[in-house]
Amino acid sequence: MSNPEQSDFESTNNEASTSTDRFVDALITHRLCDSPQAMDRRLNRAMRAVRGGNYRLNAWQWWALPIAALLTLSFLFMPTSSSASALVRSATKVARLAADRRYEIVMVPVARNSGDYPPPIQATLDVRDAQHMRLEIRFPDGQTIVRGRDGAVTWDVGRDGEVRITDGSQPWPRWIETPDGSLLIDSMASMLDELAQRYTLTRVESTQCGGQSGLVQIDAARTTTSPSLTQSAMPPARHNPAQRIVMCIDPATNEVIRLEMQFPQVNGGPRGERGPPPPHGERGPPPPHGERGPPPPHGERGPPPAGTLPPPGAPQSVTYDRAALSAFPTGWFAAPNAQ
Amino acid sequence: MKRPTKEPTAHEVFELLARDHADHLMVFLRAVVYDRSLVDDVFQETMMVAWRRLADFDKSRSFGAWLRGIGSRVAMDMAGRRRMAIVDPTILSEIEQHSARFDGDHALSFHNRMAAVDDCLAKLPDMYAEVIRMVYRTDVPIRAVAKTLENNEESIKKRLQRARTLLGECLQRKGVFA
Repeated sequence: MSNPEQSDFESTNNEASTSTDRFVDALITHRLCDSPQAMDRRLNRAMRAVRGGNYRLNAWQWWALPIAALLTLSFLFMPTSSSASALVRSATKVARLAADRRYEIVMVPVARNSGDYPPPIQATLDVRDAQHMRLEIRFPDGQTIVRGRDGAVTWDVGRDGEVRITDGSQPWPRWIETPDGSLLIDSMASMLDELAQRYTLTRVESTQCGGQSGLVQIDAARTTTSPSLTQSAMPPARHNPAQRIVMCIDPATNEVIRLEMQFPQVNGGPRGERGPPPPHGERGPPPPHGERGPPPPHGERGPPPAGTLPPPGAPQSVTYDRAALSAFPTGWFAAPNAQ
Repeated sequence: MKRPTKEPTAHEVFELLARDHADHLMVFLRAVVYDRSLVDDVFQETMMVAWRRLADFDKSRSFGAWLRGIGSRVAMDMAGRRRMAIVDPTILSEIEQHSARFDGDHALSFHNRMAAVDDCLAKLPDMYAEVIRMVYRTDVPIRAVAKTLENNEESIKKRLQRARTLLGECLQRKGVFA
């Protein structure tokens, strides 16, 4: 939970270790913290879920109850089916949990004016929580940039090998410009948060998702009227401009295993080639092209900082694939020694 | 007087029962699940499973106890699937006993017994009532409470625990608590 006040309260609750203490704690909480209105809302939500996921029994269907009861019993301890939005909400909660995760990212650029398709750009994003992230972008020419955050310190190693260290109050940039388009890098929790607000979510009945079986596919289509992308510059909005997002979620863990963002291509035509990339493969100095404000705990985004401008050029797609990982080594997120 | 011809649907009957027992179910789940942010999920899942299993309900038993039994299993299931922390089986069993005692034999008993909670809260000595009010009702962080009361956090936590113990003893004396 992101509210520090709440966490303090919970730590007390967690120390209520005996059954009596826990039950009394729950009684006090119910009496002093839970309003009848909140209880009503909770119940109404539950009843909507009950109605939404079920049907009214007709007289002729009563004979089927024993069979249904048996089936229900057998499914009781299996992952339950959820609506698309409920599943995404659960996935958001899981993504917020502090845990070592690695995502392999592939950005597919749009075609250049010459008709050539630049090679994809690959990146690896390692995340423990909002304060511990490490991103390595590998360019087709063999160069790399690495950027990290380790608690109080944010650092990056540019194409020239120079290490730059700034304090942790510097925001983690959401967009990183490359010669062939801008790469959207954000925590999974932040991206999922946005889905619920601005996208229509649909659960797709399919045996496979992203080439894997056993995953649930959720399609997100942008519903709100977002400013269209242009070749030269995207309008001042901090939102993810993806037109469609396809997610593959593991129903056993509610983790997003794959997330593919497809961006709208203006006029359907290829983009012109741009000049050489800026140093460190990112946009210019912060204020004019401003980056996001410091992220709140647990990867939730705060209000957009003034001057936040998504960078010019969107790729065809950006795909996040969850990679197998046990845990990151000690010091993985720390800045390399400055030379 | 002519009786209404429209009979309640299964959903309507279920909702009536669920509303009667929802408060106690929430208390039970809050006692069982450590992470408060997940209690609502367990609550909703419990209701959905209860609806699906309504045909299994033995009408000679307490609906509230049946609902909490499902709540226990849903919490255990979610603990396995989501790494959600819940109390260990021994404490769970004891919480079930506390709930059964608190529930009595009718859903209305819960609301009557909450009056006993109010009474016991009102009888808490000032030093405990104050800390309970500050932490639970106003949701002030413990370190802020400690600062306000010019005390340290550990003392405040101990005072809270002592307050809960006193409240539990008061409820036991009133015969509503195991």
